[in-house]
Amino acid sequence: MSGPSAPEIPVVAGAAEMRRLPIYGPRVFRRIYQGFFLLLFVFTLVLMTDEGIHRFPVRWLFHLDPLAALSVLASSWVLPVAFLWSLALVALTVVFGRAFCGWLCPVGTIHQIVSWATRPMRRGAPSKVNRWRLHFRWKYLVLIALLAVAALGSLQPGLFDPLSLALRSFASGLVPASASALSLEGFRPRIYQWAWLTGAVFIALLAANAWIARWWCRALCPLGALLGWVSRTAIYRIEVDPDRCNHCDRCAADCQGADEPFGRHKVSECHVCLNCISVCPEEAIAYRAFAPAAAPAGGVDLPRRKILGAALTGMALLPLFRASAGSVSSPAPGAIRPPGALAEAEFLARCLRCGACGNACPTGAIQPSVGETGIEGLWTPVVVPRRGWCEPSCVLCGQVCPSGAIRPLTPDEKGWTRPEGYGVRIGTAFMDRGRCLPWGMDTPCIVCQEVCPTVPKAIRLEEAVVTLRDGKQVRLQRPIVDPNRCVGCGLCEAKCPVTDLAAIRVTRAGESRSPESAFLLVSREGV
Amino acid sequence: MKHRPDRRLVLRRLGQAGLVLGGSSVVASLGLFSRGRWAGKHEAAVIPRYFLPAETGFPAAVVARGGSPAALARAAVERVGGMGRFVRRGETVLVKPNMAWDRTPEQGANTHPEIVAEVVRLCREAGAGRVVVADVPVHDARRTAARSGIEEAARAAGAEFFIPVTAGFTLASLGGSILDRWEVFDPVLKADRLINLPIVKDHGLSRLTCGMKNLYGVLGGTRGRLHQNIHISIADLASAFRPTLTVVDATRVMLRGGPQGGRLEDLLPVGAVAAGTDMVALDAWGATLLGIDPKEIDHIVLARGRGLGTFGTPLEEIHVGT
Amino acid sequence: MPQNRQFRWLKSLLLAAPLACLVAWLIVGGVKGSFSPDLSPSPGAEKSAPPRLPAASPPSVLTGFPPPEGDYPADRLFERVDGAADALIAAGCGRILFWRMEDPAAEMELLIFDRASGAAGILARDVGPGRDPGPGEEASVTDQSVFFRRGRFYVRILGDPAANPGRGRLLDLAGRADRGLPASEIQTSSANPARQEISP
Repeated sequence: MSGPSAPEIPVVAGAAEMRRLPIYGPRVFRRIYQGFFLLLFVFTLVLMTDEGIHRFPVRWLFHLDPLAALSVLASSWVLPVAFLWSLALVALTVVFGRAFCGWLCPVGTIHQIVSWATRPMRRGAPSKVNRWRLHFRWKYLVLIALLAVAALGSLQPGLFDPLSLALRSFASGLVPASASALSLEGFRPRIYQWAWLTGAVFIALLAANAWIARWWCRALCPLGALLGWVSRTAIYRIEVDPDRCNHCDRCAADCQGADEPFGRHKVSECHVCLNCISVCPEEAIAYRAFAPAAAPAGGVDLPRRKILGAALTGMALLPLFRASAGSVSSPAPGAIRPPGALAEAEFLARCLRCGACGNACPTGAIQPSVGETGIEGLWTPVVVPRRGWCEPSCVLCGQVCPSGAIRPLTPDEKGWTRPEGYGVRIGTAFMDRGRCLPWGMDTPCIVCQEVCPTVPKAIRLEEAVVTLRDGKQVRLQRPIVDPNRCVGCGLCEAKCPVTDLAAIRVTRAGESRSPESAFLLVSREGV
Repeated sequence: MKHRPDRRLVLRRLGQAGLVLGGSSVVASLGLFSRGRWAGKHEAAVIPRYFLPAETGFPAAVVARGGSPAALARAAVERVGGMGRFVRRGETVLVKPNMAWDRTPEQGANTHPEIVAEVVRLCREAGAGRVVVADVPVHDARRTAARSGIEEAARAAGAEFFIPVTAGFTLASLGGSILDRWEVFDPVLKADRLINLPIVKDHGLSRLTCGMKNLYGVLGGTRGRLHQNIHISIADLASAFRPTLTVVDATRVMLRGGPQGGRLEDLLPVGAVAAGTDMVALDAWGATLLGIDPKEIDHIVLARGRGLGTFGTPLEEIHVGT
Repeated sequence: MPQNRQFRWLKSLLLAAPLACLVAWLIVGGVKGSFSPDLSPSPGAEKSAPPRLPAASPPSVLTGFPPPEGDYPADRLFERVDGAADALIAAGCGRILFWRMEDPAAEMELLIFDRASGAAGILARDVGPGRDPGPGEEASVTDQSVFFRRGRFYVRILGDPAANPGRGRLLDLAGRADRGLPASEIQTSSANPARQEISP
């Protein structure tokens, strides 16, 4: 646990204690870095706008992430160039150990803060209780299972990657919840479907800190596992001088990684928080390069059968997903992907489930999918026109997508504002004549036709004269969708005055990213 | 703790670190240059050229009457030059009947199984290496194969038999104006020669289904979409899959209720089998059996315009008499 | 120990340096507006397996009969009737239900139109001019088939030629189907809301 001062340490004015003035301790720097990167994370969230993405490299979060890079590579067999930045993090880990977890990771910082706040709730003396537990090995098994399923083509690691989890939870869960709770005006008030679930998952993980400090980081985080595995070769390590150590176990009390600096130190668990150094009354601990065989093991022992079991579990998941009628084998009409999305199988192999697109979408059209795309597509983005339409000249989602699951388009390539042209179609609008006011209720209304943005409009009007029940005759204009022109933007559905279930609804049929799935035929001869 | 670290330890640690970093870099660069998991999937296969150049001395199409279906088929093929003219020794021949419907042979919705069997025998006699009978039914594939009698007849005559449950589809480039790239049934792509075995029927949309329409059966995917522009897609099919030989089952012709049919009363017993290399002429002949002027059927006119054949002159008739 | 303090200053500087550089870079970049997003498209093309439009699956429309073996909404009619689908849709057919009966051995199709005139038109196309006494409002009966129409519901029953159930048993089946049809509503203007059975 780390606080501004550690109350457990006896305030005895001795030479050793005097030298540990916090202002010179490396812990101060760590906290500064932690705070800075947490702020950076918040900036990233906030700056995913048209202007923001030019002023700030919003995709840094994932391009630095070696787990994201490895997963995208495993599942789609390509590595977008920007992911080469993750090698920098690998290099950092190879030299300094899991310094990322202790110094940089915003999720770690948040868990750290909550762990500090829930200090009173954890039972038992910290130096006894804050030990490494056997179940902390789960994160390695989780990592292996996720990489196995990624190797088969489904980017499930995106679900568990902490940065993706954090972005998703904040962008489409906690921030909308707080904004609505605080009734903040103008702060992009948003409704995201299943926001409660997205937020609840994150909060539940935070709540685990009341039981064991930094439990996510220690027990579940697959990025931590990956970096932990890499850090077994770390050059700089914690080293305890056995001659000076008096076995007081105070280092265990504040240790963030539960890596047991005093005993068989596990480098792969150490978050390089350096609390142990600051706290040791004998100054027996140092963080040194090439620390000798005092820390031999380095890592965590995993029996081979557990590794195999995890890999097999992961591999078994994909056929189960695909057999469950998900969006690859039998997509639901509501599985409308954002414009520029790759074809479905490739999309699922590239989408990090990070929620950046949903965060960036100015109209709130992009929502996390919990159900429309089956279990394999959990938390992948879908367009829900009732929540928001896809703005015709906007191409933000592709520009913020870190892995290229949504290709960055130019407004011209998207083509919805071009006269007589469209490049990309995300679906088609279908009229429900029973609910439509002029078709089924003898009431005039042409909102859909008015808001249709294509040039010429994809909704045309047909005149009809009807006799009302009181004998009056009224001339009605009835909208008819022209499927050759409809791009699926959803403006019609978003603005349809039939409030609950719109009378005109967009479904994914006719999307252009899968040519074989179009339901219309287009002849090159123009016939 | 100020002693210097052991040199061997330093080297070992540096070595490990270098290995990890180097390994990651190698993996990363592999990913940079890789074309991706789905790279190969976007290349379309090419349709083989089945059609043989025309030879003088043989009629482009003949009609045989007055015999059993098998005898008629044999006689008609003999008259246009014999199967040896179309099939070389060792070649793989695809015999493509109309086997789209879950109907019995007497309901006249599918090609007569005896004709299928006879054509298979003719191919084997001509020395074909493999004879394959395949189609992509509209109704349930297994039931259709069984109830139409074609599976049994084909196997008894010595052919291999494929329906979509036993073979797959591949994206192919068809080069048509509507049918550009489409999924095609695999046995089609692996054949050297194609023998088209249609049956003459009324068709709700294109008015006639005969040889050219029969080629639909090689397509996979959502074929139903093609109905939006059916005549051009049929002409595209005819161009892309120009068969080596067409043998038309006109033993009984469906006048109404096609293509599905089912009522015996809708059938007209004509008792003829036609064969030839000119599928436009054969389709035009089929139209006349239904009482339709061939010029009124768009896909026949389109196909003629594309140089796939001609119509207008009556076909030579032969009488078999068995 | 001054040496210690010097060392500590150096270490502190080393620690602070990366952060300082990062902050400086961000500020400069933010002010200049120079972080353009990486617009180079990542490799990846766009084709994959065709998605299928979903089948409607409400309960059996025909009372007294098991759920149909096939249920084809308007967008999948061609899977049942191939080329005839377009003529059916033009006549207003929105759905086909299909049963395979064992006793008698026959196939039964129920075509649901949005107007009686459409159903009548398709029946006329199928059977021609003559009508026979039978179930429904109009019927055509042969030894091997019974086609009849009540309102906007058109039923086609085809006996299996191999089993040859005979006219009588096919007529029984047709009668049961007729009684199981939904009660027909009186057609008024087209301004009525569409029936629930036909949903796109």
